[in-house]
Amino acid sequence: MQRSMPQRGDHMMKVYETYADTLFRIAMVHLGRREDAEEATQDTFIKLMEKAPIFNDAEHQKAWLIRVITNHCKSLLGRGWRKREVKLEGADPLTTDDPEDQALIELVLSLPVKYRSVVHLYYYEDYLIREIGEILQISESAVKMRLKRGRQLLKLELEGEEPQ
Amino acid sequence: MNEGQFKRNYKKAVDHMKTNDQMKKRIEQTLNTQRHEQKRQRKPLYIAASVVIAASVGLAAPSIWQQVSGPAAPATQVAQVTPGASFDPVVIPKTELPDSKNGVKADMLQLVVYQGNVYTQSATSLDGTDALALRGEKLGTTTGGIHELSDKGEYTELASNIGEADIYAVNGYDTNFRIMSYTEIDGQVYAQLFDQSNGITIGSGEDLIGKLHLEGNVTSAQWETFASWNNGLQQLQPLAADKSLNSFISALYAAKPIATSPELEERLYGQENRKIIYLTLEDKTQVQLVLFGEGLVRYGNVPVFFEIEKGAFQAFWNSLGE
Repeated sequence: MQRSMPQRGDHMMKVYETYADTLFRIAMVHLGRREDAEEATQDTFIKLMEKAPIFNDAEHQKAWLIRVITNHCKSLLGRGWRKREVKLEGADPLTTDDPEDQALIELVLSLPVKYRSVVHLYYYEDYLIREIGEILQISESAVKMRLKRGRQLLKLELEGEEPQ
Repeated sequence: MNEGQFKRNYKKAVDHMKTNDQMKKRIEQTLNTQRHEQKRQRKPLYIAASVVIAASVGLAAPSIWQQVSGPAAPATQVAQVTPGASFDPVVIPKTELPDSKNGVKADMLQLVVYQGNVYTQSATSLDGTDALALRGEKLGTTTGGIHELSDKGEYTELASNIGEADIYAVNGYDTNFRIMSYTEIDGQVYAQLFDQSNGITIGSGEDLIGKLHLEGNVTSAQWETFASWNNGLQQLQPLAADKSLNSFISALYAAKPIATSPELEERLYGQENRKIIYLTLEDKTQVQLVLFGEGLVRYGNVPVFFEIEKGAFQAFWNSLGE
């Protein structure tokens, strides 16, 4: 008997290969622990499979996935997930053995959760403020506010004009 | 640290965060398990597609709308659906076979080539356990092999990007419009609908929506807010399959087709005033329609919106609540 649905799984795995790292990184930035980030990433793909939204294009799909995993991570943290905060001391290195990289990630993880996604999408994914607003379903001014506050907390010195 | 340094260092640090093969295997296994679990729970298979419903346009008379609106909504505009009203038709050209420029979309949308036409995954879903009753004559077996980089020469008869699958006609539907894949594995049925919604001319909603057999066949309905849909929450709310819905469907049949354009899509999809309705028909198929607050309705990814008579749309939209 030939299989008619396994291709659905095959398709899902293609989507996985395209976006897994992006989603995993977002989850790591929010949750701080590999196994938690993997679980959140998995949950997001399950939502994608169950919901099977219709996307206009790849960017639409990517934005949907980012929004879903961001909200999922916030929801988990907001519920006091596992009754813990991200405790980094003594934990396994989040990303690398490089202490400088580790320190930088810990610095971002020390931000209040609502700033993390904006900072990550802006500085890592290179999204514009307008695009971040669309992805996270918040206003541009809210994005700017969070970015500004995030920079203050990170003690960043701005280079040039305030990005628009 | 200045911003530039932070960005460079942050990218370098985050670049180390990668998934690995073990994670991939675990997720693949989970998704497979989840998929089979869905079957056991008789959850519908969600499918993307393009459909139209063939039905008569004459049911949406103003008197009917007034009747369903009832005295509680005296200020509601009366639907003024004009049966048989003619509009500038929207011509959906035969699907251009993908090339490397639009390959991403081709990869996202499952498709089957049948009798020289491209059938894409339908926006109508079907529970695998209900599929046997709809399974018609066997039409062939797909060969797979199409992917996002395939050129036109690979779009041969029964080629697909769904792997090997048996393809059947769908009882009650014209094979020029709809076919299905159907397979049983370990007693579980896997089925998926594919529609051909290209190479057609749409003069009114009936020319597409009519092919879905909505009119007079809706047995139950639900709807979902944009926020729920957008976050994958699946917070479906009940929607009465009553005269109000029937009147809306009639208005949809008589609706004016509007071709998609980048500007229109940017405007519509840039807003959140959307509601999604799910209509389950007598044959157990479930049709998903997206309602846009400014009075348009879209079925699947068919490149056309339907502009419904304002009063009819607004009354139905308002009846769904927030």
